[in-house]
Amino acid sequence: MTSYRNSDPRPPIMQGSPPKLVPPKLDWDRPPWNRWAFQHIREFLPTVEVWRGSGHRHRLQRAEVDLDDLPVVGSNGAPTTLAGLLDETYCDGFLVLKDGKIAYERYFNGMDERTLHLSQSMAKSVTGSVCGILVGRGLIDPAKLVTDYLPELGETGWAGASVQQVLDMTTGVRFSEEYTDRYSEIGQVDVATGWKPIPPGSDPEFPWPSHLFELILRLKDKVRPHGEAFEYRSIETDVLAFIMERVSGKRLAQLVSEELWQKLGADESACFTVDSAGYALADGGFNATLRDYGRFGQLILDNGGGVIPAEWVGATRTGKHGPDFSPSLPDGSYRNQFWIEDSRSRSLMCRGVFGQMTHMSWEHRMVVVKLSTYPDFLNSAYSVATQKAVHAIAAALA
Amino acid sequence: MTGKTAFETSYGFARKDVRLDNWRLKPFNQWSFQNVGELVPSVHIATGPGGEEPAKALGGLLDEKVGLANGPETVGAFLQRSDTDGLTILKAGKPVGEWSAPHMPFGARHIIFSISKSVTAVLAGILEGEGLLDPNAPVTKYIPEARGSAYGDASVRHVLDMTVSLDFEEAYLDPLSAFARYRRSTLWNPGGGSESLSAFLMTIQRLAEPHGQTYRYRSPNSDLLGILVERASGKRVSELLGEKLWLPLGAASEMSVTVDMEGTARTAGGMSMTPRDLARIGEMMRRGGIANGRRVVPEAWVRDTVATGGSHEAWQRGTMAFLFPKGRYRNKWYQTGHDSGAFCGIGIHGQWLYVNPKTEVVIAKMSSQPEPVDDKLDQDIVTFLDALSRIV
Repeated sequence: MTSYRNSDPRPPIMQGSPPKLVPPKLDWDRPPWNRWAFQHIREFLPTVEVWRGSGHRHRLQRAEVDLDDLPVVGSNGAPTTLAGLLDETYCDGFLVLKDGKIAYERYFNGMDERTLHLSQSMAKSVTGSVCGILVGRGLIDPAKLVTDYLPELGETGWAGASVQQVLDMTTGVRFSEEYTDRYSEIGQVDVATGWKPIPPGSDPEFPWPSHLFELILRLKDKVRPHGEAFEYRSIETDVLAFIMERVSGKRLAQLVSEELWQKLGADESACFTVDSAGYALADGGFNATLRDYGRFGQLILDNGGGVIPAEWVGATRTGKHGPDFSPSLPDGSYRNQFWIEDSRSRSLMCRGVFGQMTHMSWEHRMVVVKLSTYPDFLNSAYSVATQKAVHAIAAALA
Repeated sequence: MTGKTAFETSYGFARKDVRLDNWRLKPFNQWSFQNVGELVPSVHIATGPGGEEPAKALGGLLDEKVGLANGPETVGAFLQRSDTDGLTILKAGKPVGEWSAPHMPFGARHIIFSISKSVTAVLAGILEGEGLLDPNAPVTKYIPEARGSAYGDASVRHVLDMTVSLDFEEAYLDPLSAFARYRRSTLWNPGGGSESLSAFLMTIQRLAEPHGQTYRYRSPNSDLLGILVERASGKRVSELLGEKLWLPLGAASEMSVTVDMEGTARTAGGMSMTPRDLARIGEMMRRGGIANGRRVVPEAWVRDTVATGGSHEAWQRGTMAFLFPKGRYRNKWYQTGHDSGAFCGIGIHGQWLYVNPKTEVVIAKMSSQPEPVDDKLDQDIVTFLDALSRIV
């Protein structure tokens, strides 16, 4: 089915009793269903709470600038306004923090300040940051081998790989990130994590993994030597989370709560989706409010704010760049579960499929968060136009 | 880095050992009853600003003795014997104290099972007050597709008072039985997701006996009540709970309700909330429907529910008369028939919301009893709550 933009009439997905439009179990992340589903994950998947604690909410000051009519370039190259671009790119929530103050904040498609929105792979950066805290505490040594922490991975492709290689996604483990192939490794992640049922009509002999750790233990192949090249594979983040759980004795949700969400002064408790064994989906199952993603981005921009070691944030901004790193980030890099935009600004980005982004610019003391529900997993034109708009906003607020 | 995880140290088992097919069993229920959302999809109802006041210890009250069936027992010993996870006592609206098992942090939510029915009935009372729901109307006025099912000729009143002549037995061992389909439709057991709760409800048939004669405690009635309030209001249960109950009540923490494949709330048993917030509901009922100086539900409805309404004869014909020999069941609340005028909501595995108007005491007790139903223990609990409400 086709999706709808915020300027289109909103179909009554899950409205009414009983609702006439119910997202199908196999396709809740596809258009138009994702436009409802990404704001309502807890209502159709089991989730574990990331408690915000009982402390005060850190109040974000406001210094608002109406950027609705800011001229930007649309995804087709034609001039438009920021408001137009947000509509064009299926935006659900958009936040600009300048000097830590809210400069611009917009919600669409039923989202509001309290809505938890799925952030897909932005979860990786949250997980990686908590890893940085554990490294700072001496609980994890990135130079050590994965198998020093998880000996049972000795028979897998991760044998001989270091934790730093996992953090940078440069192990040689074979893992296909082919989103639309149900049998690909990422397709198996969908079943292992409980995100999707076993596809009806699929090969009855196919050994679907019953939870995430089981899938990891089955990944035995390498496509190249460890450390040779960056290849984006979500499963590396899950391996990282298992290391973090093993060294701390705590579940990932508890770690993120204690180390980040209780310290951010978050507005709302966040959550992770969990599989049938209770493992949180570290690589993409995190849900939080728009402002809380902003608070997280600001913490990174504040060089860890005393919560994450400043050296860790510094190292995260130091990667191996270009050439032709990726279509949307030609001079980019990937380090410690964050994207680096280019070698000059060394701005960091958290990115997730279907249009999730947090952009942290030290140069402009600015954090931009965009939560969206693109009709497609990846849309390079939308993402590039959004990135250019971030730069236009930076210039307008300078 | 090896050895027990924090989870295993707290609960004595690993998280991965808790599954959808065993979560309600001991010992897993000591954890799962506070974390239902990790097993069953749930919708969350947020609170307004403000938080919860700190916990207050019960102190010397724990050493007080209460006369139970097998002789005197201290409050502390009985709380443990009855697998209590969390207990809150209010007197004249003020916290007297709390008790928590080591595995239940203060401020945690806990499933209240069938007290969810009593909470849903409050929504029905509110809609009745707004003229949107007529208890004397036929169910089909609101749910036309109920025609042909047991509810086809029942009234909303029959649903509210559990006097629908419903042909539904709790057959635990037959996977093809209506009971097994029911449990799957709620997503509480493995294998759900192909038949919705509302579709299942429309397939239950009736007994020959006319409606309205006998108190028959059947949970599907209370799930149907959730659909009734949705149809009467045009809003989903989660919206109604937020707007009409949770915010006016001044609840301090989030609550949640499990939902099925269509987002239909499990109003018969799927709500989770903190003991304090549950006690706030009891206090609102004790005050005749008022919370924070604001009317939540009409006073006449509360009076009918907790004091004057319901059929003693229907109750006597039912199977729970042993617990409250002079009792009645009205609008999903139990009237004890005691001289104190005490009334309560009750859920399986030891969930109690007990309100004693005479002593102005409200007690919320949340537990993880191994058995869903334990008649002998229930009788002790009634004696205990009555005694406790007089001691404090």
